[in-house]
Amino acid sequence: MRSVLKNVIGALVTILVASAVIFAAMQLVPGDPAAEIAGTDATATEVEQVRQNLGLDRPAWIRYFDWLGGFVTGDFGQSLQHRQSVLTLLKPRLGATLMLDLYATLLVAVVGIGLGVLAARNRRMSSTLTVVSSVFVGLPTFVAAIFLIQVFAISLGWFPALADTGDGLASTIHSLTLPAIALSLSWIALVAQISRASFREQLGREHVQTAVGRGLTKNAIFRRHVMRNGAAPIVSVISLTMGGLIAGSVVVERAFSIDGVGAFLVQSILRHDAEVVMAITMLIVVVFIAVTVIADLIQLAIDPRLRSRGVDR
Amino acid sequence: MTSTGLVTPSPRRARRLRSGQPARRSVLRQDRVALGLTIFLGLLVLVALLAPVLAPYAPDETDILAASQGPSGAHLLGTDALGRDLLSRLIYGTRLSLLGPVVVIGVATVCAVTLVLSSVWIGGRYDRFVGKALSVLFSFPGLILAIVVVAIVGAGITGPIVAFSIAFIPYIARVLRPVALRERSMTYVNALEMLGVSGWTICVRHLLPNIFPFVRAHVTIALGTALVDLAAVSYIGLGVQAPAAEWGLQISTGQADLLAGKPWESLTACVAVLVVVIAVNILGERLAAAAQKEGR
Repeated sequence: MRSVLKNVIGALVTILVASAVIFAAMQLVPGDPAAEIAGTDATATEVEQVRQNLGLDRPAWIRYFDWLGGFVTGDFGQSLQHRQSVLTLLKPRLGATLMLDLYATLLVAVVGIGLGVLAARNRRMSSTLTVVSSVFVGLPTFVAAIFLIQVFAISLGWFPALADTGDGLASTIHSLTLPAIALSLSWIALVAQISRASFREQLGREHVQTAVGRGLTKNAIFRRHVMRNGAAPIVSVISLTMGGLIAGSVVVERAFSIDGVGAFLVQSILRHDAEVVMAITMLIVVVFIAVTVIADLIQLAIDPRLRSRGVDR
Repeated sequence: MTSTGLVTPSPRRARRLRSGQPARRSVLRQDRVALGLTIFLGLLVLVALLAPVLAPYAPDETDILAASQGPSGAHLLGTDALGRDLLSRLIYGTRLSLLGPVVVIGVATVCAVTLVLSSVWIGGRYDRFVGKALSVLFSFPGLILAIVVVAIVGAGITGPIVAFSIAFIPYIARVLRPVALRERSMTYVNALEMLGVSGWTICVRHLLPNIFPFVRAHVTIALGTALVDLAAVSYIGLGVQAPAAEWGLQISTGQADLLAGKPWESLTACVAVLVVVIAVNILGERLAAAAQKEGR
């Protein structure tokens, strides 16, 4: 219980620090929002009026707490460029990005662990995995995207080159397949390598030999003894994956012209839309840290030894 | 005089202490693959330096009549949408594509090694503070940090280089810390301390050379990651700006042609990135394996 609390408090402190850094950074973004809203032919007093209406004349630390309070209650401010609430702008894009990241996470977990299991149980599979995964681990997301587009969208025509997340679940999944594969390839290779190593290590342990001696079937041993005990490093690498996928989806959204959060972030930076940039980076940080904490908690759940010792890692 | 085992360093360490630069030659001499990859990367640097001599055309020389062509005698890799020679752009592209990661990893390594050695040596509260700060930094994805910095300084190569120089510090420090810690606890370090050698001298003259094989291995691996990250920032449009020649940017601008069935610009730049990354990764792994063996 204590370690759970410690994890959560640590995460909250990190988020608080990150929010201060992000807010401070955005104060340095060039451009005067008040002047921009007032328009090009506004007089100095009109600009001042706008500044007062927006509350931009108040000291920075008050505006920071104001913004943080807004963020916590779901009020992400107003976009300067779109003259709309950031939340309204984000909602549809959040859907597209979440869908893409979930699809990719699923691929990583299922294919990555699956390959790890196969390689742990079969020598031939294992040596193939060593060669193939060392190439794929280093494969940059945008290179994977280009190759996939060339082969599966242009030459074979199986999937669209530009993803359309608009109509219907089936067609959305179909058009998100290439982006999800591009996003997950290098992580699949990593997860496969790590789960193979972890299962291998368990196979050599005494408790597995005991199970063999007791006459349990191979499958039962693998399920009950090897996979359960070997799960810890896999859970932590998958949490790392989810963090990496969030950053990677910025690239994949550009590659497949997906109108998601990442694409919106890039667009807003080029247009100096500070409120949107702050909201999205904060969201990414929160999700990123939340994933890490959840992975730690899962770690505690699957390994009772960590709980009884009260170790925080 | 009887040896207590405390004052006398082991023979291997003693040899390393004398030679200063530990085992630099021997890894490359024993490992043909590592040697080959090192030569390959050296040649790439040469290509970057000699770009004006090697490139058949100027990188920004347009020939609109010969736009978006496939490979031919005149243009070995074809041309882009503006009729610029792709081979020449690829050759000139090595400059920005390699310079960025080298600067990033150079700065990050100096900072990381300084932080690790000082915190391992000083220990106590300073050590805990450095550890905490690095783990907070590590919990922040580098690409996102780069994007925030670009929001402040504007799109271009400077912002991403600054951001990744910071983002890579914990990435390198994390790996070096346990190695430095183990080295710190060696008896020869105690011995030197007892002999009255200053902490600075021990760190710079003894600890640093002895952890150098690990530094070299992990810096090599990090170099590949930095290259991909910087190219990714250029690819999404926040890094190097047109009309400069850079691989990530080329992949991005070539995508319109790719969708029209003329994949040359994107594909050649993709292959360039991939080849360098794979070469750097394999070299890094080899060096890491050699450092492991040496350390035992």
